[in-house]
Amino acid sequence: MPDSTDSDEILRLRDELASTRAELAALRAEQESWAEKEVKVRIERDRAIKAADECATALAARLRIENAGRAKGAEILRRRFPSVSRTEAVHLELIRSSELFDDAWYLRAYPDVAHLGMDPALHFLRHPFDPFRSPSKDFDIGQYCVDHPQVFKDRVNPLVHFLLSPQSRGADAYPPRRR
Amino acid sequence: MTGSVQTAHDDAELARRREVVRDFQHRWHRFVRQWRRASQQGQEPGQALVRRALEEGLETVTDREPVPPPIEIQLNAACAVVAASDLFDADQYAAEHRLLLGVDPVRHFVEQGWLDLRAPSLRFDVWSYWATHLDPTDTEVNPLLHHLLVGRHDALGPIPEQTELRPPTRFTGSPSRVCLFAAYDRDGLIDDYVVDYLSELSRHADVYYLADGVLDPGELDKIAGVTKGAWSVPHAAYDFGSFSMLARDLVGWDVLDAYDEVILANDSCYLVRRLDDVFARMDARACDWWSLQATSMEHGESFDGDNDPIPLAEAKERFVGPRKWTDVHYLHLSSYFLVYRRPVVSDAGFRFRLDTVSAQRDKMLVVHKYEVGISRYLMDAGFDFDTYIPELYPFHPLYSSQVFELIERGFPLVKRNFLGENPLHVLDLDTWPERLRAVAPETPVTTIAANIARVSPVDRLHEAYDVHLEDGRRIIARRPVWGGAFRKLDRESPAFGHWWAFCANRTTGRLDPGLRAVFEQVRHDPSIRKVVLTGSRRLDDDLVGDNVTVLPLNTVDGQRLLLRCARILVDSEPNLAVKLPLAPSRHDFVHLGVGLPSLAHAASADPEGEWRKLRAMAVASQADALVRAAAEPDLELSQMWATGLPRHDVLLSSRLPDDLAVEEVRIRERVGGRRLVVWWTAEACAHTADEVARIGAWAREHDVAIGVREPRVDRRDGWTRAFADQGVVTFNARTTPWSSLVHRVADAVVTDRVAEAFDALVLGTPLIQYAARRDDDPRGSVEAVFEHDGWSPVERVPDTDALLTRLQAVLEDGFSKARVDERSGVVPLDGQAAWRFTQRVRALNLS
Repeated sequence: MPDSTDSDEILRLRDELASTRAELAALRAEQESWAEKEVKVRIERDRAIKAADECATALAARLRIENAGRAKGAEILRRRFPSVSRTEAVHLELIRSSELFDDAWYLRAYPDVAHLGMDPALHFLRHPFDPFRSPSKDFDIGQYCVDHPQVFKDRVNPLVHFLLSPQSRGADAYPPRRR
Repeated sequence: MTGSVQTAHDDAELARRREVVRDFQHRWHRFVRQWRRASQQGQEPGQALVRRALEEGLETVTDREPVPPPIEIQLNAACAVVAASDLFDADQYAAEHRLLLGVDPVRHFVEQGWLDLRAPSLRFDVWSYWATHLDPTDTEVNPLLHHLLVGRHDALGPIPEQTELRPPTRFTGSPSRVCLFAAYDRDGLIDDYVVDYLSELSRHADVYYLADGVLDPGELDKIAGVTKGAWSVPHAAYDFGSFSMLARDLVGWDVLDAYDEVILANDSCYLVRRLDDVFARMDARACDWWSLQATSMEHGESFDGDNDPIPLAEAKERFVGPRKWTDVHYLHLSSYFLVYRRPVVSDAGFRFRLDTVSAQRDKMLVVHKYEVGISRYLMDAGFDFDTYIPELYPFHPLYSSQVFELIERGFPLVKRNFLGENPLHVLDLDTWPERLRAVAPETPVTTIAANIARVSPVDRLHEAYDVHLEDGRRIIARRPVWGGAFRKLDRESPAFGHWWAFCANRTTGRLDPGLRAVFEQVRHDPSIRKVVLTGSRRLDDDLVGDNVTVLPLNTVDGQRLLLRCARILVDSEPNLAVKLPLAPSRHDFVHLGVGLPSLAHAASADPEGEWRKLRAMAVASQADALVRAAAEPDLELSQMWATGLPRHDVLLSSRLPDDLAVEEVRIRERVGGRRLVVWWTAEACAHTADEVARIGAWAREHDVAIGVREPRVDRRDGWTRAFADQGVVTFNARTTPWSSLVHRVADAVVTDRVAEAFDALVLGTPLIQYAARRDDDPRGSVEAVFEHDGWSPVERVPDTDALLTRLQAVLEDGFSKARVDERSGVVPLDGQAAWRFTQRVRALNLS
């Protein structure tokens, strides 16, 4: 280009730099959104692997004991925990029949229960506080206790308290989902 | 002259008590030696000795003073005595004071508990005994030990005795009043709301004002019309320190004696309406002291209890008398507004308590010892109190939404940190202007809002106003995380090389010159994400650009962004700029350089600096790099970028960013066309008052402005305070955050700081080295390293005469600037350092 001067050249270069930077910015924005997604997937995956490992280890231990001593192990295991009282049996039935209790989720979330070898529903019934453990991802036990502090006074399992209250009719989550 | 008599009386009393303390220590040291010998023979003899001491008390020591036994032995002996006594309930102590599992309650009380005024049992009152029988200004003797071994044998009671109520004071006419006002401002100003408050008080009382700290010159003039006396003295003893100093030294008890009522008030509240109604109503009530409302932790704070206000008479019946494990649980009147009538003011015990206020290591102790302590003393001594609000509201009335109800009932004040920090998470507090106006139409909303914007930490403000209702539930903003939780968050967040974090200076709340110069380089580059992280101060810089985010670091969002920044630009020690455990594998700290440290200077730098966290650091020359690498074992020569210092671009630039240009003009206006000599010193002022006056006289004679720049102005021995009477122009970090601008304006610099000396050399400004220290002290010696790079040595002045001679010489020379030319081994001073630095940071993505 014969009529091009240096200053024209600089102007053109400046333009080009600006558009290259804009292009780079767009690419980087895309990179960011993928990286954010990737990191979430990675966390999920790691958690899932860990939970599966824990549960499988617990199951293996459990099977070993159950089958030991000419299959008397199951009997020994049963005697490790206090037997279920009549009230507890009623409450257990209530908990098990509710959609708000998810035993598989409960074991995955709290692998120590799997190691303990205890029935998840019974474990939840007996140990709802300290630490707070939710029966499923749909029931926020901490929030329920904040809203109904009388559960501490009455020493009653919060989910049972909820299921016995008229509030629970037709409820599929606590706190209720927004419609 | 009852005032001086009073002070003399209190001094004599204090001297007597110090004698008591000393006498006890002698006896105690003797006992500890005996106990040590006895317990070496076995458990039984030691225990027998302790039992005898508890039964009979310690013998008087008449011969020469025993040498104090080692502190460890003393503590063991104290444990033995306390454990054997009947005034310590170990189990309850551990439960009530929430001791961690495994902590020995006796040892805890003996080592730390008594200093924190934790009750050993309900049968002994640590502070009341301490303030009544021992020296309340120091922490030499554990009051429980004194009581067990000496006091109870001299018939000193373990808990205060309840005295019958005295007949309360009644007024027939209108009483005369005096007000002692305690203030503190972190920017050294007297805010408009304080002026308003003081002028309202001055309509009802003679006002005396004392600010803790050093106010900017001229600030006290703002309130000259409404006060009878106004001072600013740094004492660091909070509001009671100010009340004490006013009553004892500045105003005097003799002056206070002439009034019917003494008001103690502080600047922790905004005035929302006039005080006429308060005083009119209280004048008609019969009492010895009063306040606007009472506070008690015993009432309220329960999720299922009765949270209605209860009448004051009932509250007195229920809450005055029973003993508590923690002092703040006692019913008390808070120190933001207290009024004492004659019987209280002339009471010797009250005066002694106010006269002996001393600085405490913890703010909570000020509350325990003085605020609650004096309240309790007066109640126990039978002085009847009253409150303007006739009920006791549930705890804490001034920080919950009840505030608006109180104000509707005539309460004239609103707490500053209620509006600024919202400690109890009141819903939708951001609508306070409308809510206040609805209940108190005269509220000066603009003044209050301006003060909140100036002094409230921005990160707290974020949190304070982010409380809202969702489905009938109160949602409180999440708080930022620390330690392990932060590390986990770090592992679970991506970090990007094109996200650059700029950390604002924590004291000034601004981007420092170097950071700003680098920021300007990438300001309009959309491909780089600029994250500016502020401290708790508001960022006033104009930082609009492409892809720029400004957020307080100490918030959830601020942390989220920081974690995504792979490059963190700092110009102070990395762990001081960001006090969070960032993983070095994901985040690179890049330092903008200090410039030419002397070896001694660098060696005396903060050992906690964690320089090993640095990926790289900018240097100004080869010598700079060598010295820095030699001084910091954690830094290698290869990490030094010879780009020059970005902050020097700001010094040399002919075109400053607009907001800085405006600021520079403002500085020049303050100097007013005079020549400016800036004292830029980290060391304390070592001149005597005479010498300071001579310097001031010299400056006035030659029409030279004296400027002072100090890292911290709130110090007793600081330069702002020393030069206060000499018409000084202050450029401290709070009023003039940008040091580079001061350098651009200065005509001569007196300094003991390496970085500042270097900046002056770069500009060629006449430079004088301030040397308060002895000559053989290597710290603060700047000339040695400068010579490496071919700078001329800096003259060091040993005393005031030499300083004035040197200043005179500079003056006669017309304050001419030295020519700065190119030097070998030194990066050229061409104003392109920030550009070179930016290129190096970009290149990190490619490596």
